[in-house]
Amino acid sequence: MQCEQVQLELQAYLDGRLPPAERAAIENHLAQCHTCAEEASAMRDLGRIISGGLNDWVNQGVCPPDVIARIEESLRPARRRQAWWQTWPAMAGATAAAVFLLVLSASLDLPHGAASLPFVGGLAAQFFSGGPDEDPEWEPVNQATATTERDGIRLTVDQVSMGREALGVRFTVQGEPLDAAADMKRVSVGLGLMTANLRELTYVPGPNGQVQFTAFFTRVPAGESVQMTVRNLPMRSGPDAPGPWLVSFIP
Amino acid sequence: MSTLEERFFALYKPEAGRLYRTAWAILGNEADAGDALQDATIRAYRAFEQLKGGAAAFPAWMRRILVNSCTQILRKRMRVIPVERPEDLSEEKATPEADMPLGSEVWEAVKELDERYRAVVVLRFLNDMQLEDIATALDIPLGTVKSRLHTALKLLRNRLREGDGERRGAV
Repeated sequence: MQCEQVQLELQAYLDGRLPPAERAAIENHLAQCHTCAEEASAMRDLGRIISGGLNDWVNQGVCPPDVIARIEESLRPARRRQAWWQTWPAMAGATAAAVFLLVLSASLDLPHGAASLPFVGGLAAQFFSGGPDEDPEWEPVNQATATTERDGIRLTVDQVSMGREALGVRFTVQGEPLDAAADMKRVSVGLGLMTANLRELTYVPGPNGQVQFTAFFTRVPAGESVQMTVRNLPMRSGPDAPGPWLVSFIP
Repeated sequence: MSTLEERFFALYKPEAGRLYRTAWAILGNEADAGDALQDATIRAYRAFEQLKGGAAAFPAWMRRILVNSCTQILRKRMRVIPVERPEDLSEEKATPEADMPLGSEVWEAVKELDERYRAVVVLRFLNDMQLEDIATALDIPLGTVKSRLHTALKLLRNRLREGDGERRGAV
């Protein structure tokens, strides 16, 4: 064997990775060739130096705090929680009753001011800590907007927030046909397949004929796309527009 | 009771420094190291509940995922490497026994290598990967791994000898 060829195979030889025939050929050569034998010895020493040196250097390593922070931030949407009714089984029954009342109150024409459905608001406050004031883990998770438009009315989601037990969606509804000053009591908002997962709906009329809604839902798994459905927006002329306005986002 | 996130980070944070420098060594710069570490950490977090062997198994498992993230980046980067050109290896001079170089000196020497040499050196001597596995990971022929390693070790030997000469001269 040529020395050049042998030297290319030396690392594999030293690592014990050569098949028997090749290994024997190398050993044969090393027995007769002083230069290559020295080279093999030197390579073994060098390998130890490099390995030891690199491992020492790695072991002294500190991860920069901004990298850690970035990583922690990127993991947050993947945080998994139990569904609230698993965490609070005792409340599940009570809240089921609240849901029933909610559905009932939504179909009854309860008079109320330009504020939340009072039934739900009160019940909601008892059964979950929804909202930035009460839930220390409340945080906006999605600043990207999702928007949809039909019948001359545009709906734009501009903030999605996640708390321990609730998902909050802030969205704006705007358009020429919209009766922004009307009572929003018949507006229906749902997430996914269940419209009964709405816990609270508040709204504020804004300038330029828009209305800003904030809807709190039962928390959903983060990282998965959900679809919000809005129906029955009041129109200036005639009956409510049934829509639906559908918009998807990833909490 | 701690959450999944808390349990994961309890194991992860003691390793973070080592993981960061491992990625840095493989990829050659800190910015890429941060990206690879982030990618690997997300993957590990998602798979965390399937890890068997608990805390003891975590470091090696995490490191494996990190190396995969790094070699994935290298595979993309190295795809356009031109024809191998023989490096100019200056004549080696015989010197007496050297003091053991410091970790930082070894890193300084490795860091100076061209990417294709640095990658095989780090994967072999820091990550203890076998040459066949390096070939697979980088999607290059085994023969190329062997010749690059051979060249890299020659370059490193010269570089470390130079460094040693400087140290002795400075006294």
